[in-house]
Amino acid sequence: MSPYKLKELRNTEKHEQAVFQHVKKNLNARKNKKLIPVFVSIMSVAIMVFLLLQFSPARTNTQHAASDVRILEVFEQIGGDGVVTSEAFKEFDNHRNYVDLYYFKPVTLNHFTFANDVTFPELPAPYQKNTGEVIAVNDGMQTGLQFHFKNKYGNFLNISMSKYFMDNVHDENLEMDETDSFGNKLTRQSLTDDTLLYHLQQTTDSGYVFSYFHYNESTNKINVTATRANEFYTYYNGFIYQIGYTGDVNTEEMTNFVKQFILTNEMQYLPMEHPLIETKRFRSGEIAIFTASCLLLLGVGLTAFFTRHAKLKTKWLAWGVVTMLVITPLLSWLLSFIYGIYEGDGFAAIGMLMLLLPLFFLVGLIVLIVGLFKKF
Amino acid sequence: MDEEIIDELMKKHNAILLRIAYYYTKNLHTAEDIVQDVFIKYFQKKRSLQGDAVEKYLMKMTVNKAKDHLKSWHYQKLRFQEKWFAGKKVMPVDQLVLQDEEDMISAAIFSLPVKQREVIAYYYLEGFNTKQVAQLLNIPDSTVKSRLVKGRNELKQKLEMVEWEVLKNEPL
Repeated sequence: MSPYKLKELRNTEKHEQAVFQHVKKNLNARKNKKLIPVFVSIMSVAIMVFLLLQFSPARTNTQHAASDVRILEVFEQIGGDGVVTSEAFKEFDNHRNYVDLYYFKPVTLNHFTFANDVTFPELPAPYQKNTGEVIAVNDGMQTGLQFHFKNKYGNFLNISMSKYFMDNVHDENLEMDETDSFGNKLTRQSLTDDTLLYHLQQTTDSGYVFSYFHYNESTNKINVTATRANEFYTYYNGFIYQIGYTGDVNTEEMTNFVKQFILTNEMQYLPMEHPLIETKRFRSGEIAIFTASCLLLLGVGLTAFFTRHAKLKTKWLAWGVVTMLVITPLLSWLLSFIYGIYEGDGFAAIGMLMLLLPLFFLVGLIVLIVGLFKKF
Repeated sequence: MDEEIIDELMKKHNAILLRIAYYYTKNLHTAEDIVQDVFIKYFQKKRSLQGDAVEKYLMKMTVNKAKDHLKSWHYQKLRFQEKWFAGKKVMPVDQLVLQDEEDMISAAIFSLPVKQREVIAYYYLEGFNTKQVAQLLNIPDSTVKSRLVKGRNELKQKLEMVEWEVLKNEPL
């Protein structure tokens, strides 16, 4: 070695010592630093799961339904076919033709009232309360109830109450005739000051079909039975009431019962919102969020793994491509979906997606361009 | 890696790595940082090199790291600040007189462009032959020689006006 050294480098002992100490200290510290990525990964997954659980509508609905589920808990879901609408009042009732229903096996009225802690009023003769059975159907959002009573002569009283969001009877679409098109007597009575109760009585040999749900034991399904019956129809306090009866009944007594029942029955205060279809749909959404999160983590993890020993330039290039093709679609969809759920609006999700998609893509593009052109 | 081996390696190579880093950075503290990083990376990679290979490997790492520093945004920013924002140092004539001859040599070497400075430093200050310098810098032997010639000429120009008193007999 040359005998000459630059003046500044003649005595570097102090700096050598500093290097020595720093290296010794940091070698141990960096061992611990290896735990940081593991810790960060675990925390990320934990936070993601937490967010999923918090924002998951399925959970929200389950929680919501949990307090209201008493009605459906009484029943057992089974198969079924058909919908029940009022043919006589189809101008009011036509919307019920277009629903897909979930059907529930009937239970006795006693069981139903006991389980739901409600009382059912006494029935006019010749019907007996203890013959009653209750069938529930759900249109995916709301539960409807049907109370059916038979007497030994084959006559029946059928009370159907279905939740509906608007007063479909208030508009007076129905003709003002005192008879229906078959000549049967149609009367309008006031239930309250602003609510009409329609009463169609079978006064001729022909008439509109009256249908109701019927449990078929042999197939264990709910079907629709069509027959003829006298019919009451109205909308009150959020429910469509369709009440049919056959047999020799005192009309006045029956009308009074019907009015009293509609105005005061305790079932109308039971929670009828059971969003089965929503729960099902959001549960699939939850699975989608989980899958997208897993794919995202997998994509990021694999990229990090395969580029861990790569050159800096390669890393930039790889992350640019991965950001554009993997992270951008997944992350923007994920965030938008969660935002949409949070806002409860699908358009919010689409709007967010339209913002995030180009934004993340641009970030990926910038990373790629830096990787391509920057000198490393 | 054993603590003892780590200690031994550092004791053996610390000084030369510091000098190499300094030839590029002109700052001992920066050189210190670079050498620290080099050692830590080397020990973490747990390479089992033996003999001369260790020194060559460490020196190459130091050269690369030092060059990275010169290209870094941080260094460029410092240079920019020095160039544009630092007030011009007005050095009184009597202080210039006080500058010793060794400082003048340092200043002349560090005023060379990196390409010439590094070969001059390795060849004259570290005593490497041209082949070793070529290997370390990953350039052809002939390039080392041409850079040496160029660097020498530049140094000559810078230092020929100096009337050497103390160092006139030093075999440089």
